[in-house]
Amino acid sequence: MVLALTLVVDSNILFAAMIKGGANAKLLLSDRLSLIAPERLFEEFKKYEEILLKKTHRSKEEFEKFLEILQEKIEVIPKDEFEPWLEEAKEKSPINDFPFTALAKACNCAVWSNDKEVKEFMLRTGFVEVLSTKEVLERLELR
Amino acid sequence: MAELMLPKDLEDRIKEFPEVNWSAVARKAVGEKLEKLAFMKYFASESEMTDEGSIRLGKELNKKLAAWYRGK
Repeated sequence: MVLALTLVVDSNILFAAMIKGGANAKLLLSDRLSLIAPERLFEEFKKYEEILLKKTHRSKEEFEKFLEILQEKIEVIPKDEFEPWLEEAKEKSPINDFPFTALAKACNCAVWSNDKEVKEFMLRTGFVEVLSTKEVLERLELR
Repeated sequence: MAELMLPKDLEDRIKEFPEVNWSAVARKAVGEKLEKLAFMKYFASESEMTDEGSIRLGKELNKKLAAWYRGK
């Protein structure tokens, strides 16, 4: 068992926090996780507001509160801080996932993602580790 | 009643400020955390988001994010 983990949060985890009865939201707020994300993640996430309001049946104000809670918990890391790893990450990651893997490499931690394709790709290259929600819960012995 | 486990150094630092009601500080922190957890549960309680949907939207977002990083 590990007491605490630092993880790079993939965008699918933010969307998964809205799954009814899912474990992701609770885990996102766990004090046993230090969570980081690449610069610009929240700006892009906010563009999905209209879609997410329809999917969740919640108000704009409630969505803003949801976002505020996530932003309090997830530290956004400026691109400059992991830029040296971006080129290698482009070669060793799925085409659109290099900002997350570069940040994980720079911080010597894993990416938290439920995308199986990303997991399989990263297992092949060995560039950084990818943990699913189920695996994060197992590492923390929460299930 | 629940007891809080604190590391020794924190206990020592707390003792330096006996004028502070530390139980109230802890109650407030616990209350705020519970409020956030309850809100997250409420927020998703009528949601139609699925595992597959979260992956699909994640891929879509990552494509736009990657384009920004490539400077396009």
